[in-house]
Amino acid sequence: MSCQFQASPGVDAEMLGTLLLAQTGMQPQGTRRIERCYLDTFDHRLAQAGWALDADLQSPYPPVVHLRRLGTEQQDQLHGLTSLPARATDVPRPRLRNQLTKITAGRALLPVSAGEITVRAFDCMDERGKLTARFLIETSSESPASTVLRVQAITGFEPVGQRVIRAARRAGLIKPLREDCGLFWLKKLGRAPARYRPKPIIPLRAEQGSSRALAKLLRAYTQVMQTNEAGIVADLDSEFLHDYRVALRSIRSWLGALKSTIAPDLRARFRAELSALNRATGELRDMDVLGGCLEIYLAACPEVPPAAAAALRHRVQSTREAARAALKTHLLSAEYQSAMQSWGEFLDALGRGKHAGRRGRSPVLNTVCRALRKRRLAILRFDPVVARHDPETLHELRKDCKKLRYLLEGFQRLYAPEALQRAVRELKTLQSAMGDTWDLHVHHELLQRLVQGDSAESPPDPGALQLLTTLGERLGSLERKQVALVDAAFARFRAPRVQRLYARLEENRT
Amino acid sequence: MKVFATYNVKGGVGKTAATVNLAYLASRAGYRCVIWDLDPQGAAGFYFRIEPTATTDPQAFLEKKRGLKAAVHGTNYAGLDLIPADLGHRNLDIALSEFRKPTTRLGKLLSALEDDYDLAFVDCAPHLSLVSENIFEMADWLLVPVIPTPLSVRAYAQLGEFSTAHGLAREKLLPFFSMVDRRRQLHCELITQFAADHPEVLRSFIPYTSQVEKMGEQRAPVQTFAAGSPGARAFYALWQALCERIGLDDGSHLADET
Ligand SMILES: Nc1ncnc2c1ncn2[C@@H]1O[C@H](COP(=O)(O)OP(=O)(O)OP(=O)(O)O)[C@@H](O)[C@H]1O
Ligand SMILES: [Mg+2]
Repeated sequence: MSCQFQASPGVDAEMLGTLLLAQTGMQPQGTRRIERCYLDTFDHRLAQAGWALDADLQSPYPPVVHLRRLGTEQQDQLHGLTSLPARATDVPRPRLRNQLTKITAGRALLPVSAGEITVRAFDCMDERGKLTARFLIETSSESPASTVLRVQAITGFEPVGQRVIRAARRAGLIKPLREDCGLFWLKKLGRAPARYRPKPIIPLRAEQGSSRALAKLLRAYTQVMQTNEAGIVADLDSEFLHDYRVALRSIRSWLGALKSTIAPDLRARFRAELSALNRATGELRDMDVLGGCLEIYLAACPEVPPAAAAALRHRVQSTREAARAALKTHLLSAEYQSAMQSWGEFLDALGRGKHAGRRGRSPVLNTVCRALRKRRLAILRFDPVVARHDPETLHELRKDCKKLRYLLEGFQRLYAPEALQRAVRELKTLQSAMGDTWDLHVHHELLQRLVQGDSAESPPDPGALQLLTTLGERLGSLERKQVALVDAAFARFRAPRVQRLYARLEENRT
Repeated sequence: MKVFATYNVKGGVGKTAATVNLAYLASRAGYRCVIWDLDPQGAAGFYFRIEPTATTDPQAFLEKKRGLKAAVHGTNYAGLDLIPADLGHRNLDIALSEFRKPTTRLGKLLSALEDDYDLAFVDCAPHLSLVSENIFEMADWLLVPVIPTPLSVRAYAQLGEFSTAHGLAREKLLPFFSMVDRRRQLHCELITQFAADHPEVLRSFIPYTSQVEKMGEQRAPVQTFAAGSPGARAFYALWQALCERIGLDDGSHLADET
């Protein structure tokens, strides 16, 4: 039985209130005007997992925060909060904290939307004074025509609420709400969060011209970048930049893989602009990731004295801050805006069939198949023996694998789902065997730079040097271990079974 | 889910009063709590205005693995539910004895609620029976109210002996003094002596107060109608002492308590 209802047209809160008061044992509990605020991660992970996190704010009281299953009134109050939680870790109760941490994966909880709502509460009591149901009538002065009735049944006494609802429905006063009351309010207040996918899936037709298809894909991912700009500028969550850069990297990768579909001069120009953008965003991302790992590294080096650790933390923090300020300036600059604008105009023109290169008009499936083959052969050229001594070789393999993955995923609609899934699975196995020692590499270099940056004025701190040495040793041993793993995974990838799978994709036989 | 059982072979020592008030305080601290009223008299349910049921045949009840879920009733307080007493369970002992493992049956039933609650409080009847053995088996801790009288103290000592003889871990026993009248010399002496003999006693006691007595009229936990009264404060202090003993967060950082 549903528990959230919308008043029928022409029915207002007064009428619903009168109906409730006509029931025996109903006691009005007063009216409150609150600011209802909905919290979620920037990519709406809670909503996607079927949860609503809403807070009722009424100054001077602390917020009343509930975690609710969407579409239901089953809720847990998050006790003990004096302000809105900024992250799942701010939730005091371990069970809820764990639940939220799993869903949000460290992302910030942002107020995605808020609006003023008037809540009238009614308690239904039996003759013993036992609460048997609670009714809430919610209205908003911003959207006067909408009224919501919520029924909070008390376990073991559900029939009481059901009786009232049946009567109201028979009288035509209410109808079930088709969506969660939270989303209903957001929509009514004109603040429904936009749907967001960090990796949109783009419908493409095999026979479509390559340049048009590519334009469609690039436009969607450019949109992802733009959606994340505001979050980066406001520094709400490091994940905004993460998603921005994944989209940017995908775009660059496709631009490279399908280069013959675009007029060479324009391709060269945008290629240069996009890699400049990649560099401009790289520093902050590096510092974000380093900042996240620093404590782990320090914990692994207990011999680093506390003062040196604190200095290093400070140094990372201030470098990050500088990178952030620089990126913010860049994203707000007229130069960036106009570059993005001309990129957008270029994509529009490309979508209309202009600026096509040599292969711009051939069917996209053929072009993508050729690119797939090229990427796969590049991976097969990898030499595990060389990689044993040269981490850069391993890193090149990693990059080639990523490029292949972007191709498979970006153009996934061109392929039969099962074949594609199997191909991606094989690739993933190889990718996870390679692990990510690259981060360690980058961090080693970054730390070296930070430590030496300090030494301009004073000699490098022995504690920081100690950290560098330990990190370097760890990196070396991790890499040696990984090459062995990669050997096996690479042999598997090279096996005829997997290669046939890819060959079938490339020839578009399923 | 952690399980507390309020137990004493003696009747009228404040078992139910403790169950009701501690469970209420635990729910205020943010724990999802359920009270299981295992005393067929239904006193715990009475305080929450929930009537006993009189339906199930005990045998069928014990056999239904997920039967307890359906028996749960919400109280007037968020986060606090209750499984009312069942008048049909007066002879639960006999029904229990039919099972191959008669002492673990009730614990099995309660485990169906494992995912729904953080804490369970079991209010027990004043008997030593197969039902109590089930309670010893399923409880993580036994809260034992002791009135400062020689007889009551002796009853606690007997429970201690019983526990040693029956493999009931002594660390499970959490005695505390109940219905204390500090004006009485005897009470004070007994309390001091008991604390010396039984270091496990919780360092907080419940005085005899008219507000706790009034729970019967008000049919509600004492904190809800006499917050700040000596009785309400004593139960809060007991809750804190309990949490400290077993390493539970007592929620005292929450703004609205005491
Ligand atoms: N601290 C107290 N001060 C005053 N009266 C109390 C106190 N604790 C309990 N009482 C009263 O004493 C009576 C018995 O208390 P309670 O029902 O809690 O004991 P019990 O051990 O559960 O009894 P039973 O063995 O019958 O289940 C009740 O009427 C209760 O109101
Ligand atoms: Mg009792």
